[in-house]
Amino acid sequence: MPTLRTIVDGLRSLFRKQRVDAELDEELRGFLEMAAEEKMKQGAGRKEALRAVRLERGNLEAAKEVVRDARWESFVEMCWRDLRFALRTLRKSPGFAATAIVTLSLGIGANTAIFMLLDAIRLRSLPVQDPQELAEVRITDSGHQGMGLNQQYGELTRPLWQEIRDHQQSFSGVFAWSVNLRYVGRGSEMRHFRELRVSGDFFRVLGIRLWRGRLLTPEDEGACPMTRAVVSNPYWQNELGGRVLSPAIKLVVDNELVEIIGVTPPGFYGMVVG
Amino acid sequence: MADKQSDLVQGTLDMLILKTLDLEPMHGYGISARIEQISKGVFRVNAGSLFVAFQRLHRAGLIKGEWKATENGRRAKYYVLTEQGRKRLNSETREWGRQVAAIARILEAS
Repeated sequence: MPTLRTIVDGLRSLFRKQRVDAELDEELRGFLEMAAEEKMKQGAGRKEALRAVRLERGNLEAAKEVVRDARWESFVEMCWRDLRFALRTLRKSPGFAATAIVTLSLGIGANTAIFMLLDAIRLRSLPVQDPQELAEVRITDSGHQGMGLNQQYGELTRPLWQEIRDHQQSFSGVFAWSVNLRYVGRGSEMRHFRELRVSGDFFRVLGIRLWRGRLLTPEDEGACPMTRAVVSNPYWQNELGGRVLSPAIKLVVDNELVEIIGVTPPGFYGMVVG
Repeated sequence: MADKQSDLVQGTLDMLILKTLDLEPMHGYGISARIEQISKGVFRVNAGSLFVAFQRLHRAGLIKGEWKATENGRRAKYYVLTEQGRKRLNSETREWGRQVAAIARILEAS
């Protein structure tokens, strides 16, 4: 297990540095002494012998450094030294340190905020079956705004939409939708809710599974004013108390009775990401 | 030709050390003296390269070190070949022979 030994050896010299260094010291000193003795046997003086060994074998202090640098753990040691040096320097100039820390935290904070915003608005996808296969079709060259509240898609008239629906060949399915604010309830009970007005294929194309009751299909299309609706899971829980659906349960939407025929699954919240 | 061997492939010094230790356990100076003596002075090993090589071989599990007294009563770290080291020496020697023969064939080609 060469790798394991390398790690164990490295850790040993990291945590018992003095002992490992002392051992290397002694080993190298022994080397020097023995080499010098050999020279002295040939009649050289001690000083002369030591000098000759240094010339022949290289400087032993330098050798120590070479051996130490060859270890992986000396890199760790160096980083640790650098870190401590950096901290010491920062402590000596607290003004500079504070400026640096504030700058960094502001930068990181701003980045995080922008990322969170972007993530919520752009990076998440709709909680439907194959969000990556969805495409939005709209009229871009809009010289004028449409009529009514829903100005964003105002140019898309009903006949235009029907042409697209019946003749498009690019998609496995298309649907149209609009977002409106509606009043639900009567008199003082009246409250604002967001309504998603959809074409018949909406739930099938998005691949949304049924939670309760049934979902709207193309057969439900055409009724005006609308008579049937599907409610979101939170609405069903909070406003309808999660009760069992029956044709008797009707909502008053803008003073018209609307039958609740189904509930969408918990994850689905509409067509707006974020 | 002092220190010419530092130009050699790194593995060569390792192989020479392993071969020296195959004869008998030896301390650092003994190994370098033996290499110098057997090569008739062609190879003189620098202390730095030598001890780096010991460290490398030890970490590769090819040699072991133990402190013992020398014949002159000095304490020294003796290196011993491990079983793995012996195997490595055999395979390296074979490989070396193959390469030398191949190089010789190329140089002698006419």
